[in-house]
Amino acid sequence: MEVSYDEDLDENSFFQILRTDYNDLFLKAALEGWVICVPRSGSLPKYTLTHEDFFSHILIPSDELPGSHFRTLSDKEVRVCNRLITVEQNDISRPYSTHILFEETFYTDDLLKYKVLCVESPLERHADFSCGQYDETRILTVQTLRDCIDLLWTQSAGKEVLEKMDQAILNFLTVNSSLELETLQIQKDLVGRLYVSCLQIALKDARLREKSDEDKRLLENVKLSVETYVHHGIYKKLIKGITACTACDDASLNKIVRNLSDIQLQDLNVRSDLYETVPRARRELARIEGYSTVLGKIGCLKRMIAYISKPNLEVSCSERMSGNVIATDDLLPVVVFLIIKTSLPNWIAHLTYMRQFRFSSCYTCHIDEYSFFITTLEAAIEHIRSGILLGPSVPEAQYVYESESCEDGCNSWDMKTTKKSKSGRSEVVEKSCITYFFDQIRLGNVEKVQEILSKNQSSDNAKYSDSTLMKDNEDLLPRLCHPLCSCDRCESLLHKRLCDTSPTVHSTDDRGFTALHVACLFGHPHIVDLLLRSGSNVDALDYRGSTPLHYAAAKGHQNALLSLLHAGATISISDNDGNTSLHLASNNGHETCVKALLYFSEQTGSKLDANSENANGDTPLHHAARWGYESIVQILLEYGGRPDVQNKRHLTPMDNAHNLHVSKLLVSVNKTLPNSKPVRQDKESDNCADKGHTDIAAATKPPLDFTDESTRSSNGVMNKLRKKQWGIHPQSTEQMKKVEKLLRAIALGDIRLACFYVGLDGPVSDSNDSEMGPPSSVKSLCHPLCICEKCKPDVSDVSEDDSKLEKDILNINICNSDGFTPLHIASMHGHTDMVRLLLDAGAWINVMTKTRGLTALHLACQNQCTETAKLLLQCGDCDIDIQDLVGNSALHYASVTGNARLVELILKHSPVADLKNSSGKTPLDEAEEKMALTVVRLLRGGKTSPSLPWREKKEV
Amino acid sequence: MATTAGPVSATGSYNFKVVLLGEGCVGKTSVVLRYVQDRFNEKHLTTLQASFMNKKINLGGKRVNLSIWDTAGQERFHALGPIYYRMSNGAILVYDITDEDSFQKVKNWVKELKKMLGSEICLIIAGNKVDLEKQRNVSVEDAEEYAKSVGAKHFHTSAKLNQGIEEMFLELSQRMLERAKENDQQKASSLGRAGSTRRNVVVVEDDEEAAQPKSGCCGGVSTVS
Repeated sequence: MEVSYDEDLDENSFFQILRTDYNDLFLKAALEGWVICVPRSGSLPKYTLTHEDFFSHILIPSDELPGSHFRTLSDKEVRVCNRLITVEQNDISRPYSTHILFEETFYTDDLLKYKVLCVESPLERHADFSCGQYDETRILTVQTLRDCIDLLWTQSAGKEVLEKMDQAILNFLTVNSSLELETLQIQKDLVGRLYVSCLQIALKDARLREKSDEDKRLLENVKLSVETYVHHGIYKKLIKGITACTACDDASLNKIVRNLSDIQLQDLNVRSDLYETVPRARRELARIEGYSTVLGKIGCLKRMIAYISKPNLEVSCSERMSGNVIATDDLLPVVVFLIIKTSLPNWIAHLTYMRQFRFSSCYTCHIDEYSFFITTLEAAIEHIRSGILLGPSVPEAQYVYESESCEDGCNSWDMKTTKKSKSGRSEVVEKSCITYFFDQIRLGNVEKVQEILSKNQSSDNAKYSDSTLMKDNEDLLPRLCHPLCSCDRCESLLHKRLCDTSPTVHSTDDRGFTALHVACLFGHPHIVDLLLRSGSNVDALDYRGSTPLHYAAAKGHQNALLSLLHAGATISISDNDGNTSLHLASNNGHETCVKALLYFSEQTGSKLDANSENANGDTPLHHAARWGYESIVQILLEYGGRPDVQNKRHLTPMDNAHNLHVSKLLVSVNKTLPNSKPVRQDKESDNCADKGHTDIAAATKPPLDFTDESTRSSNGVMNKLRKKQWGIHPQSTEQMKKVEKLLRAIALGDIRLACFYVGLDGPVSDSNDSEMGPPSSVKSLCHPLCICEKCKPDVSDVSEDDSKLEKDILNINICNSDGFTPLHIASMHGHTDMVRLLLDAGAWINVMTKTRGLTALHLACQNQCTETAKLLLQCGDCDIDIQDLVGNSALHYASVTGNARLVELILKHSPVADLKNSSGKTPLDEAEEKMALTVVRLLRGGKTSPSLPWREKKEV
Repeated sequence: MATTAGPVSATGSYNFKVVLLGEGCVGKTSVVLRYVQDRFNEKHLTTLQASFMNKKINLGGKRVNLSIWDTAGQERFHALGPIYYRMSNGAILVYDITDEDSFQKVKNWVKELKKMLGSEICLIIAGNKVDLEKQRNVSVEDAEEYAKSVGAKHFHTSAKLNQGIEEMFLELSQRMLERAKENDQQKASSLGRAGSTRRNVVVVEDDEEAAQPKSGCCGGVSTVS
């Protein structure tokens, strides 16, 4: 473990005594070029030093291996290897070793030069030198957040300092609640001020001040620890703010990175012996997001670079070629590769955080090792940003080189033709080769492509009819001796024509690419047109199930894309990963293509679902939100992209958004959107509680330096397990009062007022139709952007909602002290419209009240609100068999009422009919007790044992 | 942040950033490696990360900590130069004496450095691989003349034979020290004027017993020694 220890050797007592009291020895050593070892200050034994001690610390290099083998003046063997110094003992005891802390070369004014090694402990082991002494003066280095907390805890009087700092941080967060809206410089100043005040708090502690006055290094460490502690305290907010500031840069970087996502190590000319180091380094770098402090992030970078530089020892033992020194030229491409492959959506924000928010070491900030790590990252990001990895936009530059390599490709590609024509015409071979053909397409060489195509069209036909064969051979005629000649030369000429395997528009290469795929990949609209005219299959699939449309969209070639669409390409095809073209265009940030796809589908009425999910359950909006493409998010939202669809990891686009602008956009739309589709409601409850606030992914998973990995993975499990049993409790008394008002409004059936409280935009007539349809608020407008008289009120509603202070809006699942949510009250009073509105807005349907454990359905049944019950039952999530605290199910309550219609309704939804309540009664018992004969008949269902059939029916 | 200037660490030594510039394959890395680890690019058991290295030296009682930054030499990374050389106190421009092109590159670097960093930075030009004297393509006179014209010192080095390298770094360190002291004096004389953006150097007296500034935001007291 490398420790960056430093001390001024001129102040080291051992070195001082050597130079004064043993000056002869010292001069001799310096003159002879011997190495002087100096134990670090604080590691020396207490008794006075003898000349023996000095003899044993002067090393004479051996003749053979002067770099690593030495003898001390007290005649002991010493070896130096990998910053470890080992002294062989003359007796049989184990060799003694200690670390070299640093090496310093001295040049005196009279041009004397000597080398000093500062070692961690004296080279001579003394009997009275107990180990206990080490611990007391252990070298202090803080490397993680935990180290920092430990240091602040142990070096000060206890938890007091930490508590005071917590208070200061908390204060800071409340005072600067809108930190994320400030500019970077203001953020930096504010955080800097917080750091200074926290440092003051730390140094007010008498013990800490005393100690750090004595030891400057401790002071440095205290500063670093305070800084780190502050970082940790405000990270959630700060990183949001930085991300907002760098949103634009991040989005453009993401676009480049996305488009490079299938880059290989070879493409970056990474040294092949470093390949093996990549996986480990990549794993390490992927963790960078989880560290909340600059120190933690730098540590992560450091480990990543260490992994690149030090491959697995087992593997590296196999002899490696020369050049095992990693220079910047070798390091950078690997880091570039790792950045591209680590899908962090806000690299620049993280970089800015690391560069701008180091307060504790301002003077060495730009030259120490830490800044080297940051600079490496910066350089790699800058390299990606420069865009040169994307290659020249006009590929003609590569023409010469490529055509050479093509020839090799040709030869291996088609052995038959090559063999045949080896004797003479390599030119023909070249033209017949599919690689050559694709290359011409890639280079956008329209004439060549046309030539090849026209040629093979004729030969295509030739296969089918003799007459065309004859006709086609007409151009050959002049070259024949005679039209009917059958000499060897003429035969071969004719024969070649027949066997010619020049590619057609349908030929595919090893990846299943057709010519059209290639043309779309490289975006040559003329060639795309040409190929389409020549009869290419517009929906051809390659080995990944991708159509040409996918490639045009992924690469952002709008012209090609439009050509394809006009030629009738199927817009909604998804590839093997379930990605539609819209997914790819959104993921890679091609705004023009996203627009083209959506407009076209709108114009022609072809079906393109803006919310289609790929194999990971991601919608295009998930992609666009994650990578921070603000404009694309906007377009997708206009076309009905839903910000509340959960992917397979239960994240909505809102959770995915890292950048403030995007998440605002999403949240504002989400609020105005009546949910026609019940969303999987298994998100964390506290998460939903502040949905009103802009919810950023970074905030939903609180990162902590050392527990991050475990918490994050367990979070996912927790999400799944946690069922929505209770409503959300109000945060303040004020809110509580408001909840009561809200519930009263609902009880009275004042839908408008209720909507106002929960931030919905009022009853919408057609909200409960198809699940997949576009959201009704958009549907009810003439056009998403329309501002005609009819649409205006809705639009203004939206903006009004927007401007409303978000915290004033109550969560839809809020409950009063008895656990009644709006849905309970509405169901109880049978306000069916209100219930529908609430369900659409994402109210949890199975929430129970506190005192009796009643669900909305129980209440509806109890109060014989048949219509309401029907609506509740129609909702897929509704659990019909929930029993309340006394064991009654909805069927119990319905049976008790004796309302036959209600019982019939419930039975339609196949409940478990023989559930027993706490008094041991089934619904049938209850009905019989109440003498409700129709109900009894219904429950019996004409059978003696009514329970089983229902249950079975449900399971089938 | 009143007196945050100066590359002085907590223990009162000078910290200098030195960048190595030059085309790929001129042997930049070998030069550092030879200097810091006294080894040449041969077969070793462990790989070594040589993009950033530290070397501590003591010049007549002045402690100097050199942070030696290797830069990317390949043409494709050329644009990244400023990211690496900003805030550096010294630059070593390495060329290969058998390769005329690499010498031209050095000239370009000099131009760029002068433009970006002014004359604050100490320049050293190193003609590396003098062990291949027979294949020399850059004449000694040209190189030395050019170095003189831009105020740089020229060295003939060979990482393979360990020639001229230590001298070169020594010279550079001395120059940087002088430059730092000059800056320091300038700063002392023009104290109070709004700080320049350049690096300034503050010497911390070794046996400093004076009270630490209460804010603790900087460990040093600026006194000229």
